[in-house]
Amino acid sequence: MKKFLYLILVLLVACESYDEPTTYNFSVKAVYPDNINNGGVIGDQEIIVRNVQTSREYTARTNSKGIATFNVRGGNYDILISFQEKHTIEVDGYPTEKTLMFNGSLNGELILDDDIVLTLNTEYSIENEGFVIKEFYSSGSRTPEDKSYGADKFIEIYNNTDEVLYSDGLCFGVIRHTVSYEPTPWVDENGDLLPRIPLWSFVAIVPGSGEDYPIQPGESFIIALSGLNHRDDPNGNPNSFDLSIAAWEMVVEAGKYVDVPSVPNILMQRLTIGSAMTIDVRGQPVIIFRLPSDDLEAVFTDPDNFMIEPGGSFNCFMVPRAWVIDGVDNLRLDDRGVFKRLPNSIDVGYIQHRGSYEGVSIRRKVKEVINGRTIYQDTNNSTNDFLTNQEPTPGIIATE
Amino acid sequence: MSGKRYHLILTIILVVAAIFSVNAQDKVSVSGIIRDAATQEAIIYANIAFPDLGIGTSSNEKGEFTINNVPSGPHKLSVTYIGYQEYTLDMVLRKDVNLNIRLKLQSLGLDEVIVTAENSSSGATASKIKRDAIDHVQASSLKEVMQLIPGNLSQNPNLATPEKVSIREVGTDVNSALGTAIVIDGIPMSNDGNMQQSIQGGFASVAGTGVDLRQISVDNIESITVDVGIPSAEHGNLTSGAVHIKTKTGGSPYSVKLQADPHTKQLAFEKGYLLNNDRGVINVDAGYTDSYQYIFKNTDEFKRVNASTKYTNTFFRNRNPLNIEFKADYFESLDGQKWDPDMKAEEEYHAKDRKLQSKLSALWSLNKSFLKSVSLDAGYTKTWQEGFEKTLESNSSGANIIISSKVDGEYEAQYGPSSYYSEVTYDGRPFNLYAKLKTRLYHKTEKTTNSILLGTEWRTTGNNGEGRTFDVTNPPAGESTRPRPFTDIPSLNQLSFFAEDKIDVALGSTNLNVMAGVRMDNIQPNGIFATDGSLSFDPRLNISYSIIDRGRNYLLRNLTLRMGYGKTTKSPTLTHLYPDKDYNDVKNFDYYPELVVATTKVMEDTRNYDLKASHSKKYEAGIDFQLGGIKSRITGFYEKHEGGFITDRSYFLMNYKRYEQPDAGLSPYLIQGEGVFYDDPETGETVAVPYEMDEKWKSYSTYRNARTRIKRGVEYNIDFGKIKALRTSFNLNGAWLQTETYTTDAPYWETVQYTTYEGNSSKQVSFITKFPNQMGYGTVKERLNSNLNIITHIPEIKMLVTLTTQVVWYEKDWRKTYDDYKFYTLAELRDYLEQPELFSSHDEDYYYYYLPTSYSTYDGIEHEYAIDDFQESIHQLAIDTERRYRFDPLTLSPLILCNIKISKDIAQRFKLSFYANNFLNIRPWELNEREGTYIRRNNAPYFGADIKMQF
Repeated sequence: MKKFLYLILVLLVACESYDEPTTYNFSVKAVYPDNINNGGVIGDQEIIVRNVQTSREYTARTNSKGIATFNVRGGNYDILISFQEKHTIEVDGYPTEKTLMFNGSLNGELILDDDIVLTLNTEYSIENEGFVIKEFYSSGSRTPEDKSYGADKFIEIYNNTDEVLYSDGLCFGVIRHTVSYEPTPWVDENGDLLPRIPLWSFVAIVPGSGEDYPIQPGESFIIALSGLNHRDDPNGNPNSFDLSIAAWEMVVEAGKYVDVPSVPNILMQRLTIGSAMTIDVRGQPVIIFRLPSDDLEAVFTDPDNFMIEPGGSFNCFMVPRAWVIDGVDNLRLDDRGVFKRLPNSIDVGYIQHRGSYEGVSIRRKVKEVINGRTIYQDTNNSTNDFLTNQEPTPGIIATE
Repeated sequence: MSGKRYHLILTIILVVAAIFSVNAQDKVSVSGIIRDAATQEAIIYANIAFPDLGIGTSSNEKGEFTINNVPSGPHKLSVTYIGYQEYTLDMVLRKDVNLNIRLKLQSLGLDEVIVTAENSSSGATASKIKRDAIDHVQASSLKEVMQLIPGNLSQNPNLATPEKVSIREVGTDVNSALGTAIVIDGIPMSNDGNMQQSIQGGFASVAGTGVDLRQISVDNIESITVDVGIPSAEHGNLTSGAVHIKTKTGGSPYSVKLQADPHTKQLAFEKGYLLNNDRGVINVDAGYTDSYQYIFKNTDEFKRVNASTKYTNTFFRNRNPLNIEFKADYFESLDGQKWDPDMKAEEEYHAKDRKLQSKLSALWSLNKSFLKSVSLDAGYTKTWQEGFEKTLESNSSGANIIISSKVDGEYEAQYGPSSYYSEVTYDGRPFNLYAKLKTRLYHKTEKTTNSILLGTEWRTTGNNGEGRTFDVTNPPAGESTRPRPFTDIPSLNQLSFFAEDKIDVALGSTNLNVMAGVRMDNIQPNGIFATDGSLSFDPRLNISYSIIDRGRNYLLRNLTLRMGYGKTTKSPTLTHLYPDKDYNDVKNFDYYPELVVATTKVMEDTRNYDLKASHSKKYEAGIDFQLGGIKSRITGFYEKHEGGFITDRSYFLMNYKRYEQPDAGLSPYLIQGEGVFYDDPETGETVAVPYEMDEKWKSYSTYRNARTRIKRGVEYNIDFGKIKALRTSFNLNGAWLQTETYTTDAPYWETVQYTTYEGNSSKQVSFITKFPNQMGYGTVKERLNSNLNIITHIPEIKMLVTLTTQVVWYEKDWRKTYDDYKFYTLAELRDYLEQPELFSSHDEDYYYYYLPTSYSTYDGIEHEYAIDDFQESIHQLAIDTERRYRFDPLTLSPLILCNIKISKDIAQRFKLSFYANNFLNIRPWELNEREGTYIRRNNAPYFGADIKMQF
């Protein structure tokens, strides 16, 4: 009996000791990519550490040795760094000074021990020319009879600068493999995303010889799947909205969607078979990019620009990261998990919407309004930059 | 095979028969009186027959009967009467006899009640299921009765979806079900005229497949005989087997049965009226069944109403009895899905069948020395079928384009809303005419008896329904469907002849029984031996050699060896023979919302004129023996069914104009036969919209004789007899079955699409490739099962309890490859095509590769593939891949299932029955290691009860 009492006492004491939560010290060392400062350490930049379970965030700045230290409770942590710096890099063989946007992340690191040292690698992207994805709507809507309606998908692209930009040659593409609760097969032997981004189904290209389709500062244009006034047309869906304001529609030969003569057809490059343009209603990572050459036939017939999906049969069009202007990792909301499709240099975070045919879009947050011109927030982190489950507002530029 | 040879054989049989008839024989007269064993009351209209002679009569008002001119020698006499146990007597006739027969009322109070399938003893390998067994199963349709056949597994009652019959195979199969004849009172049921093919899949369609077993209620059935082996030459239009159903005949009290399980309620009524002064007997029965698929909502329903009247009488009882049976049936079923108020879309489906069946059977026992009897069975069935589908057609791609031209050419189409209600009605009126005339001849010498059957059969199946109709502006499922009348579909006729000799030879103490027959089926005859369809000759042979047959004092009391060979034939059905026209539409001008133009190409004739009947060859060998009280039957079989019907695709090139879209704000219009134009708003000139000619591969489905199904197996049935002290008998049955299915002789075309670039625009183009065979591999399924029935029967309290323990010892399936269709591994493929770098993205062991043999581009010419062609990447696209792990065998471990059934008689008037399936709730989740998924094989626990009352 006495033994039992001791045992209980010991247990009580043991329980007692858990009353005060243990915290752990750990440090993160941030380093540049190999071709910047020879892969040296990043000094005096902010690192954000976020508890995966509680979403609590801690921030600390790196010291001159590139190290930031944190004192946190045990758990899984996402670790992020994102900053801009001017550097001289080689572009097409010539040294050029560019504003580079550095991004790096570690996901779900387990901190349950003191003095863990983690190395945070970074990637960079060259500050984009100024086009950003203002709104992307892939979910589709429901008719009053509760049937699905998917003809009203669109992407809206915005000139986020104070200069006139030309949309001629701008491309829009969807990324292959949207089953984002599973890891993507498009990885190298280390499990890292490939340096090129796989596109399938189509590439939509704004025609024009260079200065045919200007977009004024603070203005946008819409690429619609079908440029119909979906809401008011008797053959549309009263629960949808008007896309007759679209600049372009994605009509293909023998396609499923009607061809509205008042909305011109964008140039469609078909990549994989089928008459449907595959934009996944559950979530679709997308990019906008420019091709390196105006000779489309040369680009699209060059076998080096294509790759067969590992373990699959789709022959996807591969876009190098350097071609990309903007991208959003719009992933599927699924309780089995989430695996990123876009590299950190394009989108360090990800964003999810409610589901199929829910009639919701993802839309970029307004950063500020200067002289009546809206500037959208663009930190290359869609988790921060985008609002999700929004009622679609094609053509409307928010001012707050 | 040469038709002449069989013609010759037929002639020889007839000549031999004629010679026999010259010999005179000793004849005796058999008479007697039939009484109820308990009350001593005379039994009227009891059926008295010598089955091997094909003669019979019925008892008169005093219970008396007489059969004259019975050849002397050993015979089996059988006396049957509704509600009584069958009485059989083996006797050797030398002089006139007068029998005093007592029949026992069927009751659980009797000593012997059989609730399992019994081995049928003469001719074809068959199982016989009698009324007691049907009652004890508490079946709601024929499907559940089939559980009693060795090798079949226990099944919960299901009236929610069509049920297919399966014999000697793992799983069900469309061609097997189609090839199983279901014969009710001598008239085969036919589903061959059913054309109710649903476009939407809203109602379950059984067109082109066998009879839906749900439609057969079992309450008025006296006995069911299932020919699993080689059927008599008398039975045709089948490949897999035959189910013979005999309905009740004779006077009986009012009887009402109520049956219920969680999904289904059933009510059945029956009565047999004896008319005075030997004017015959009328049997009346009716049933009502109502079943809901889900217990939580009443939207999905199956309803069945059946009523039948049968008049039976025997004329000229004392000379040459003539048995007449006239029957009229009414049947109605509704299989439907009502609008579920929880759903916004008001969708509804139903399939309604109403059927009137009438039939006349006559058996004239002439009883001459050689000509024993002549019989006629004639039936006419007319069915009114109505299928209805109301669907909300919604196109998630926005506005619909509705194309309705029924002729070739370029026509204006309509823009329609993205969702609209479509209502399709399928009006089918299949009819069947059946007539069989047969005669039985008998000849006996000292050691040999010949019982010869000669006959002819005629079948006509047609359909004169209005067919598929709908409003063409609200069509179902978008493009390429049009209404179709059935009235222009020709009828399907079949003329058959059959001859069979059942020879019984006494060889010392042993006995050799040979049943040899031949059957000719002329499908779509154009004369007796001329045909527009197909002509087939099917030999059938069953030999049984009884080596030992002796009394109770021996350990080995009985030993019989059996073997058989037979060929069987099943004609294609109307759906196979006369498929619908095929409509192909291409939208070629689109200017929303002003004008949309489409080109239509109609394939008027999609028939396969080479489509023949399918055939099965069956071999079997078996042994029957009785060791002490243990009766066993073991049968090994091999059956190969070839030419089973499948759908395949045929491709053709369709040409059309591909118009450019003019600028916005114009009003383009179509001038029929010329093209699309608009008027220039400034100049007023008529401008033709420019176009390019383009072409596209289109396809339609074709029926082919291409499915092969091989059934191998060993089935066993061991009856251990009864342990008297425990009042319990044991019966073990089951089978090892292996079923292999594959396709041959069906070149399989596939389209390969790829993208071409020209200047700054890309275009999708395609070519078609031919594979030597659909899929190229077969599937094999294998299973060993045993069902142990422990039957405890206590006559004193009139109670019967059956505990069935079913064990599936193992279950295995795999994909099989054949030498004719080569599957390459990646290494083999690279070697063969001499491309070491081919498919560099593929894992080494992940795929098998299947090569097409030829291709056809827009030139329409078939090009043989050469190895070099596969250097081109577009032809590499044509190589089919199959995941290799799918070819691995999957073996599932043993699984046990226990069912219990209880029946009890209460007083003379009531009988209560109850069953509980899988009452131990053994339903493990099992890992399917091949697919990495979990499966559950056993049925969910299920229970039901019924009560039968007699007044």
